Amino acid sequence: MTGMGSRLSILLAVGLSLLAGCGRDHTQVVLVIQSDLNVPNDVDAIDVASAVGAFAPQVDPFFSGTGMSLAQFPLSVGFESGGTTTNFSVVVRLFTGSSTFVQPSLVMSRTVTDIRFVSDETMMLVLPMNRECACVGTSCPSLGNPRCENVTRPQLQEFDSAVAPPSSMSPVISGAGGAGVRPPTFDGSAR
Amino acid sequence: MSPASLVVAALIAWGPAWPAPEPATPEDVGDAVIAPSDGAPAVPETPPKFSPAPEPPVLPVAIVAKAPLDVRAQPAAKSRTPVHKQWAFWVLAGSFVVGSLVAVYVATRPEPQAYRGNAPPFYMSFP
Repeated sequence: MTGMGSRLSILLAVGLSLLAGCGRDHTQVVLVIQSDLNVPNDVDAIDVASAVGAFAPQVDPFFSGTGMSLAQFPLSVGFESGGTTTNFSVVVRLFTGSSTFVQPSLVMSRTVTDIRFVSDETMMLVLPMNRECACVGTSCPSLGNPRCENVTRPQLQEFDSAVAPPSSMSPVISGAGGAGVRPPTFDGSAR
Repeated sequence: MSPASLVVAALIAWGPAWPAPEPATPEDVGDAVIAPSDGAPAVPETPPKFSPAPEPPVLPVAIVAKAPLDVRAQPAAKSRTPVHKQWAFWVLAGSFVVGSLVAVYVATRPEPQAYRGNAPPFYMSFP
C-alpha cells in the first residue's frame, strides 16, 4: 500500500479510537461488606446511611430497613458521584430479628467517613464487619479493637469482581437512613 | 512535378477508393467504373462489349488519401483502469463502511450501568 493508503489507515484508526472513547466512565465507590456472621441466623437486615462530606451521617434510631430478605455476605452497595461530590461518609448497621414484631436488635455498626471518589474510576472499599466487632451493650463497635473502630479516609482499591458481588439489577432505593418504623435495641451480642 | 500530378500519382498508388462490383463474368471486369468526382481524375471509359453495365454508386465526396496510413506507428491509447479496480476506491469505500458501522454502534450502544449492590439501598447517587 502506498503512502496515501497508510495515511488513510492512520486517519481511520484515529477516528475509531476517538469514537470508542466517547463513552463516559462512572465515578463510583462500591462498598463491600464482609463478615463471618451468618444470614439469617446472626443478621437478617442491614441499614446503610450515607451523606455527602467528611462527617458521619445522622442515623435514625428507628430501623429503616426495607424488609427485604438479605443475601449472604459479602453484601454491597454502589455509590456514584455525578461530578460535584468528591467525598461521602456512611454508617453501616446490621440487625437481627427484623422479621419479628419486636424491634430488631442492632448487631453491629461501623462508620466510615471521608470516602473519596476517584474521577471516572470505579473504586472499592472493603469493610469487614466480623463477629469480633459485634456490639457489646450500647458500645458499638467494640472499643479497643483497631479492626472494629471507625475509619476515616480509607484507602480504596481498584474494583475487583472477584471480591465484590456482581452488580444486581435491583431497583434504586433513594434515601438510606430515612424514616424508620421501629427503634433498634441493643442485645449486646451477635447470635 | 505539379501538385495535381502528385495527387493523381498518390491515388493510383493507393488504389481504388471504392471496391468495384463483383464482376459476373470475366468479360465484365472491364465494366467496373469509378465515377469521377470533383478534382479527381477520370478513368477513361471503356465501351461495353456485350451489355451496358449498371450504374456504379457515385460517391458524394471524393476520398483522397494523401499518404498511406501506418496504424502501427501510432502510440497505443492509454487504457483507463475501471474505478472498481483501483485500490484507492476500496480503501475509501471500506473506510466509509467501517466508519458507518462504528458510528451506528457508538450511537446506539447502551450506556454502561452503574454498579448496583445486592443489599439495600443497592445504589446511591450523589450530585
